[in-house]
Amino acid sequence: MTLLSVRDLTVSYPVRGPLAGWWTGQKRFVDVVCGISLDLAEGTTLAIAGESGSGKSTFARALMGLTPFRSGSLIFDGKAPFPARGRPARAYLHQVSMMFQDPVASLSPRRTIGALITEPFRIHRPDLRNLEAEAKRLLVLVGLPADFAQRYPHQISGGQARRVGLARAVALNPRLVIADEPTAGLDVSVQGEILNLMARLQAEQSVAFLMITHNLAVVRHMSDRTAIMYMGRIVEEGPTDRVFASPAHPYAAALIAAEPSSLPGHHRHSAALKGEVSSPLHRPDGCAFHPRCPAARPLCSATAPLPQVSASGALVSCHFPLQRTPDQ
Amino acid sequence: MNPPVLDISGLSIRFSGRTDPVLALREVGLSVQAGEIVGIVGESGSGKSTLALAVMRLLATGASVTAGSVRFEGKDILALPEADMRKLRGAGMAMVFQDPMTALNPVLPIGTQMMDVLFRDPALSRADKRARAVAALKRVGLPDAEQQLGRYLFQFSGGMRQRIAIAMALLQRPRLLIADEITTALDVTLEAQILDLLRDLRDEIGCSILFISHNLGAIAAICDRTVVLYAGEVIEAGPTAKILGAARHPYTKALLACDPSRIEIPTRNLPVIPGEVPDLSAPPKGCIFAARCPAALSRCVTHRPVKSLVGRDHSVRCHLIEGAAE
Repeated sequence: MTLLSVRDLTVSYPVRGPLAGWWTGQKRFVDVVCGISLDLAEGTTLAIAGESGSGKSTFARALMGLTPFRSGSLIFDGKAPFPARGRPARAYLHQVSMMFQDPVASLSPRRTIGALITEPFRIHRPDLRNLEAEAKRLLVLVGLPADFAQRYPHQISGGQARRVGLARAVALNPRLVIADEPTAGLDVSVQGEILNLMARLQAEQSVAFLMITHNLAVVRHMSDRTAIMYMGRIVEEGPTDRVFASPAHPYAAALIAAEPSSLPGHHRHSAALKGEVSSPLHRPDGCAFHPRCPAARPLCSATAPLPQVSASGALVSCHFPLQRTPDQ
Repeated sequence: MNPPVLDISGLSIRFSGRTDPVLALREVGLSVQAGEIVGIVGESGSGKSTLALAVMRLLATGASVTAGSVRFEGKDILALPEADMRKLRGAGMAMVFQDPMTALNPVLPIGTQMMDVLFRDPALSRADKRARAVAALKRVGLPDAEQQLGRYLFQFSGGMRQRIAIAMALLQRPRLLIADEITTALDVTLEAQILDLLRDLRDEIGCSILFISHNLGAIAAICDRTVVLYAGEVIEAGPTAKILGAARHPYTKALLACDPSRIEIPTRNLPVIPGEVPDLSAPPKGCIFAARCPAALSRCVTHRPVKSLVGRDHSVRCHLIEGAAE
């Protein structure tokens, strides 16, 4: 069953500066996220991968109502939680939570871990009296000793801070957790612990994850579906195994080919992608990827491609999707 | 033969403060030859950054070198007067830090900061400095380089900030570049570009690189030799192909097993290393990894293993390996 359904979501930031809009008299906007549509099924994981600046985190913040979106619609569990203006419905925020990118910075340094992980209850469940018991339950759930409730954020390690972030995100038994780079900056062994924990919580509580990451190895192991973003648009979206086995969008293919591996003899094809990411202020006409695309043709710089179903069953926004040849 | 660009031997560093002193590095030795890229791999808390800061002589107050030496182009830099050291930093050796947001000044435009770095070069006019800054930014792949000079750090994304920091370190063409987790926040295509850039830099100006990372893929892509650090000790060192392809130390093996990019079939039960890193205020008497080692013997707990050579330029500190050699 579809839990979250996003249609044509666009987030724009006004361009500031002394001369912005001086000539035309109009305010200029930069589209950071432009027209994203996707569906997330209950209890599954969708990974959004893409380069920094591609709008992944902005999209995540928009879903939480932390950044207003200019246009588009969002349906969660059959309801539209966002009013025309202002903050999303409280019931929505009760069921959707977020793991922030920087776990240490997202924890107030002046409050104990216990106070931090029970904060969601103070907001959404004021009827709950025994917060200490809840804190203990959550700490055990994420594999931390119960006496951590008395500690302060500076007294714990980065990996432990992630666990606290996860405990806080799942405190209210949400149906959707938006995890913004849940393992960035963690050591491989600790990364495994956090990801295993997320997989376990998903199996036990059937929580859906929208995982934002640039680590493709993590995407390959953890997600059911994968969306690849480039300059604010989803260029390819489909079942993870198919996207990885036969990417149809040249950018997705380049990204997957560039995945680093420590296996000896593995050569990544970094040469596949040259050039610079275009500035969102001067978004290229047509397909935003065409200046860097090895397969670009005149049509690509004239018309923006519409999503179409590829041979592998993924949705691809490309005029000339890659065909997988049998010998590959 | 010329002396190595960097030669560290027996380096031990202690942090003292209000709590018990922490022995952050213990008898660390490594060398970097001219034009070589040497990787230091290890988990957080293993002392990678401490080692880098010791080479730059930028250790925080409270940290003291209790033994060992650090030689840069043959000179013992631990004995160098601060004035000489200051001349060496930037021009002789430069460092790119883990977090560009705290390494660069948030209240100055990036162009000002980049041009300020060149203050020691009186031959350069303002326009020259500006041109060099623009060239450096272009080099690291920043779009609209000219317009970016007047912008501030907070206006850039994480990946772009790191590229600006790298551009700044390149300005004076150092002979040794210390790169501390510089690709950690970057995406794969950008990471590949940055690694290519570092390699080009090495090839063009013969700059040696000490590449610190916990990203095994990045180490594999760029490093000639790799040093594995665990809890402040070098437990294995050798040619990168040997370390990643034929590791001997149980810790190196466990670390490689955890890397999700090495696991072909997707799994949601990834391998981990059970246990915790030892408390470095009282490091264990025996092998530093004994408590977490799946193959530990009783003497691993009681006696510290010595470094033994297991191949050309490949050394391991492990009792099990000694046993195999006997």
